[in-house]
Amino acid sequence: MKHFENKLDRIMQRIWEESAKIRLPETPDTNDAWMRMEQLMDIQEAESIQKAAVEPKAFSPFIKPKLVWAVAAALALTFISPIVYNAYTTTSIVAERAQIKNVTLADGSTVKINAESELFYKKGFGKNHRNVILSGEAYFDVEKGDIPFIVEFGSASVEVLGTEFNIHTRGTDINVSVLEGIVKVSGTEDKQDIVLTAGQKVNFIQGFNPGTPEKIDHKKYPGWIYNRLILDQTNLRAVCKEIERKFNVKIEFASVDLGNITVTGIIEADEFNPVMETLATLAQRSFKFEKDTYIIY
Amino acid sequence: MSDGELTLLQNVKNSDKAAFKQLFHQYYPTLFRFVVFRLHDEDLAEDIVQDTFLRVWNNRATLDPKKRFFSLIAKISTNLCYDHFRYQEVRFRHKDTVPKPEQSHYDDPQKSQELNELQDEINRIVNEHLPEKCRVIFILSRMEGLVNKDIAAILDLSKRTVENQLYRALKILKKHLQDYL
Repeated sequence: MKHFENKLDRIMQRIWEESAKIRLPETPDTNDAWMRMEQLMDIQEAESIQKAAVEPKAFSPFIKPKLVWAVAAALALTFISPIVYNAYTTTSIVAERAQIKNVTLADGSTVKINAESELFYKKGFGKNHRNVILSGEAYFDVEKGDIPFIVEFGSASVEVLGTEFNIHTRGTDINVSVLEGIVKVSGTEDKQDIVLTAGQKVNFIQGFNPGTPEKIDHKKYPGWIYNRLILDQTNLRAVCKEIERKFNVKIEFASVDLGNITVTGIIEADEFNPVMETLATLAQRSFKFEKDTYIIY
Repeated sequence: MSDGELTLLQNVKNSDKAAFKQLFHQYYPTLFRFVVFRLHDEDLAEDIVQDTFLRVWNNRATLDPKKRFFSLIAKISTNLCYDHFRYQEVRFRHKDTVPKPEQSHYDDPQKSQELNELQDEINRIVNEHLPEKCRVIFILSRMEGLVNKDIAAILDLSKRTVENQLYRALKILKKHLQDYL
């Protein structure tokens, strides 16, 4: 800044200094302004729900053409640029740490998105295609339809016509479990596709083909949608990662190999502290809190 | 740009009202001063700022979270100001009167007449003669007192560009202020 000011001649310096003295009035109270804003938003929301019962789906193809026109006209008034085009063609829904998001897609399918996960889909979803891309974990309840519903995640994908299933993809680990209906799971090679029916799950890793289907042994499955951790010979490292995402905390191990301990059991995961205590008991370890991190030792 | 704003914008896009509230609180004062500087009318500025945020909310589905939020609201509010001026112009056309900004009632009476005149003149030239980008940067720098680095971050420009635009603004001001300095 100083460097910049030094380059100015005497007159410019004067303008520079004078312009900083121009008085602006006090800003109105932001809280009051927000209250008025919120009222306006509520009124408009009530009106738009009457117009199109599909709030808050971003540019769902089922929104009535009239509303699309209204949005387009509002846009034309304000700003038109390539920004809009990109945002218009892809929609992304993000669930942050310690957050779970429920969304209803344009075709009526519902998706529960687990913490630290993201779902994307391109323009025309529900009309020309039903393709979504997932990173993280989500539970799908897909409406029956003529267009196949395809979920892509890294090198693998799942294809269905209408069913309930969960996809877990963290790091390179993939788990697909089916609660209702039938899904096709594809890895890297077409010929190695497998078909899962209700009550079946499969574990495999990114870049490979799915292995042999296994039976789902638990009633409330997948655990996360019932707020519980279902552990079946699961290593401590994976469990702690899950807890970190769910409660937005940091967990470390006093020594690396502790992460390899496997635990089996079901933990009700409503609150953080009881979860850690139960986990410590199951793993026959202790934990302490230092600065902002929980340390298992 | 900061991850915080990216996340907020992403959440707003997904109709998260709490995220929108946070953005509103963060940018309302700056945007208000930005608009009032141009309009010299607090009530009107309040309306335009509210309208700007409302438009963002109504068009949230088309938000690009990667774009700087202030750039967007500066653009929308500027367009709304133009709309207002255009409307005024139509109203006054028959009276053969050029709409002049009202005398700001927030002038500091302690300051000497000459200083106020100079400041008013700067104010007028910034609004009438600076190109859009230049004007936004100049206001953020001089009236909001932001350093070049922060302006660059808010508008997603390089620091170099900010400096060049400020220099350009001063050159234009100097040209128009010859009688005063």
